Amino acid sequence: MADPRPTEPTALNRRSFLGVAGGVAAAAVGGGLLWNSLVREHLEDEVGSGTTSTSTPTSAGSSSATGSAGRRRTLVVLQLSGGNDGLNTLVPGGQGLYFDARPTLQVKEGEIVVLEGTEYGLHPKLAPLVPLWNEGRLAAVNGVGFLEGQSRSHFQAMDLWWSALPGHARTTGWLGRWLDRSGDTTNPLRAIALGGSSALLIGDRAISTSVRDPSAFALLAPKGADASRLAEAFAATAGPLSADPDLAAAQASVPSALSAVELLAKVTDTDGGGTTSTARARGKANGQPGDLEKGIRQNRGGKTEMVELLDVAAGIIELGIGTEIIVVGVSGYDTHANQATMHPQLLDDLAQGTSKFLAAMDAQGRSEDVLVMTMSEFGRRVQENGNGTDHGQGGMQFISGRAVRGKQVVGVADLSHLVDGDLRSIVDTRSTYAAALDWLGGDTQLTDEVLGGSFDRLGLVTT
Amino acid sequence: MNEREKIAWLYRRVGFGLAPGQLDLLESKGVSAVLDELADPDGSGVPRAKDPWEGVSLPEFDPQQARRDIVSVIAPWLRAMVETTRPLEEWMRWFWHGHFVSTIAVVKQPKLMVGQLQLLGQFGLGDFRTLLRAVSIDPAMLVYLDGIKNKKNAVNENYGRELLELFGLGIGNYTEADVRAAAEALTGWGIDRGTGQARFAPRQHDDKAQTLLGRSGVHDLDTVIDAVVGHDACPRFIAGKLGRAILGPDVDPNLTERLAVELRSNGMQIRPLVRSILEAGLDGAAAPLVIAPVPWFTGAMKALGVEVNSALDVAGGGLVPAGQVPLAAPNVAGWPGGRNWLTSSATVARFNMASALADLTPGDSPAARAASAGDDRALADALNHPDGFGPASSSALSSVRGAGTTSVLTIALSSPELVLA
Repeated sequence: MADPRPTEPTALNRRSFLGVAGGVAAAAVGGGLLWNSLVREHLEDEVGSGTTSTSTPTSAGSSSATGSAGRRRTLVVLQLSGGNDGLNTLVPGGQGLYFDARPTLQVKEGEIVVLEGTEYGLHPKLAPLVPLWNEGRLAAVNGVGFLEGQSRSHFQAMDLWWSALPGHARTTGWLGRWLDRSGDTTNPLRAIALGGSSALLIGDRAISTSVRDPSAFALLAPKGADASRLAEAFAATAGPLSADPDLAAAQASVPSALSAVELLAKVTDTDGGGTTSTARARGKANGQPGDLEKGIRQNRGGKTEMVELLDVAAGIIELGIGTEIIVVGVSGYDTHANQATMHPQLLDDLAQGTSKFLAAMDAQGRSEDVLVMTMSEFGRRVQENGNGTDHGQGGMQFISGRAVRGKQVVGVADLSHLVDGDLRSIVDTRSTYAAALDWLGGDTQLTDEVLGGSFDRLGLVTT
Repeated sequence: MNEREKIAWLYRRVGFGLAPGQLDLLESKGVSAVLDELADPDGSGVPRAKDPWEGVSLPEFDPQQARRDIVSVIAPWLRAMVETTRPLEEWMRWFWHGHFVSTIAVVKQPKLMVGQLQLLGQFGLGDFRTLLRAVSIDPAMLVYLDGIKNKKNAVNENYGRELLELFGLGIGNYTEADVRAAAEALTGWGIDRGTGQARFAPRQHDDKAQTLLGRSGVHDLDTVIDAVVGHDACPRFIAGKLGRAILGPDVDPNLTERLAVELRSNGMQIRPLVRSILEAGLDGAAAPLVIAPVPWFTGAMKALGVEVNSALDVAGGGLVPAGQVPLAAPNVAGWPGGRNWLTSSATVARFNMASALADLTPGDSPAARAASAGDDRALADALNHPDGFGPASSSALSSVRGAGTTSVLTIALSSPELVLA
């Protein structure tokens, strides 16, 4: 019997999918797919300015504030999953307690990269961020957390960071709620999560796109099959939408997925301007589902995960389709063990990724249009525990971009006034969220509604 | 639902799907007999199921070496889901794995992970107290949630917290003091470095009497488990979770309450609880449920009649972008499910797995024959959905009719209808 296994699956690349544009647009009803056909027109014409706000009659009008040359702003959130150890990221100077508490994990005094004019220094792997600091494009926030409702439960803590609603069972994320109230909730490309789906983007209505591995995100047809016909048929399962809401929800996932595939294909095909050939090359190799063992091995997250994902983010922004939020999720920060090996690698990836991304924005002439913010669920305990650290409270965040009032550290890491061995949270996380949303949406009232209160913006970002 | 649809529903929800011809066979027995066979295989004379890892060679337990060989554990398990004579028992093991989570990334020893899964199979349909006690000192769990670090002079609250929050009661039913008390009473458990078995070290155990969940005199494993299982919230929590897993997230809270009362009054026995849930589902309490990648994948393999190892070779990798690899839950809360299975990544992954499986399908399988005959009704039936395709999928199937059986199967398998269990 002939070997039934396919050898070279036919990739449904951009060309084959685009070939069915007309048929696809006609096949489905619903705002999402109509918008997607507009996106395709943009991709074909490579028009830079966004017209997304006028695409559907139900649109609430302009969503993100417009930056230079009428372009949309994009907030990039780097989600460092696991609870980043802020104390080894932004090291407090002149506090002997730091060295006492961390005999093995401490960043050695001679290696700390001092931030001039502050009492802090960076972990040596974060050296690539120093030029940003010197140019006034980087700020840090310390002792950041929730002043009320902080829980030792890992899950409650995570929920709080994602929802920013103490005392409520988590249903929505703060970015999802912003999307709900600021524009077209049926457009899945307003907000994109790279590296895995993000709870930050869950709204009551808004849909978003999540791509776990941008480098392996192609639709594959069986060997010998007519690829474009297959793509068109898959798209056709999406409409007309069933009256059954659950079947309709399953149907609605199809056009979202297809526009994401379209988008990523475009990003990885583009030459120059911030995209590398790495993503392209990996895409071709990894497109097939293939063997389970290989799939698991490849999923182990590389040392350059943040670099690669931010490269894709830069490519998405370059397309100018009006994406307003990109969440980049990288895990591995839960360093209960092996922190001395793992944490420097993670910080190296973070620093390289951030600096390369901002350089790409400079090259694209979009520096005014992006803001990058890190977040993590909590900090870690001051005292080392074996070769790692356990979950703590107050953490730290970096904010970078041209709009940032840089060269400042807001908040403190005060080792002489710990709470149960943890750094105190003295800056409410919602302050950094508020600063970011003000910049993104240009509407302070909307920001306050989304966050359920008015929080001190801390002079972090100019709008 | 008619009888045929009811039987298909049972097997979609708790049976990992149906093999070619199996629905006809079961329909002739009638839904009542089918339910009996599923829920009470001993009484119905169903042959005992083989242990999934019988005869499987696994790396030896060696605490010095991080083994992490995940595929040697998963592949036999996926095969067992497809081939077992007792699907509900295997499904219950799968359910408990998503509840009593441990991951091989942390545990690092395949033999310990298999030991845990075998334990879940052994106790998964018995009484909840026995199951909870066994899991609490299971070696893989002791590693995963730091039980082995929890000692009298260095209390580690990790397991104590999840015991209350995720495994037994749910948030809001205990205090931080309870977490501490449970943790202290559970000190002293470790693993023998030679055998990998759990071992109790009295000198590492704090035997002082605690008050846990309002109960005094709690000082060790048994008294901790008694306090948790004895709490009012426990039957409600377990009945709720299992009910939602089978009937869907929108299950009627009154039903959950009734199931909880039954569970408490019958001594926390799980088998009758599952049976009651299934009966309620057949009786109209079933709500929609988005199928998770693993049951989707096994259901597809089963329905198409593809050889499991070949399927794992070409399509198994899709479980990674789909977001569900056994033994690799994202965190101790397991797989939240629902809309998480409708993300772009999951949708693309499902299409690609469908594509690879379609290519592997034998031409003489009922699904392939229905596809090539252009009989959409028979095709849906062959894929465990006797209620058929809706208008959108039907026209999508028509549009690839002339493109060959493999294309038709790809669209059928990746259709939105097959996303709903």
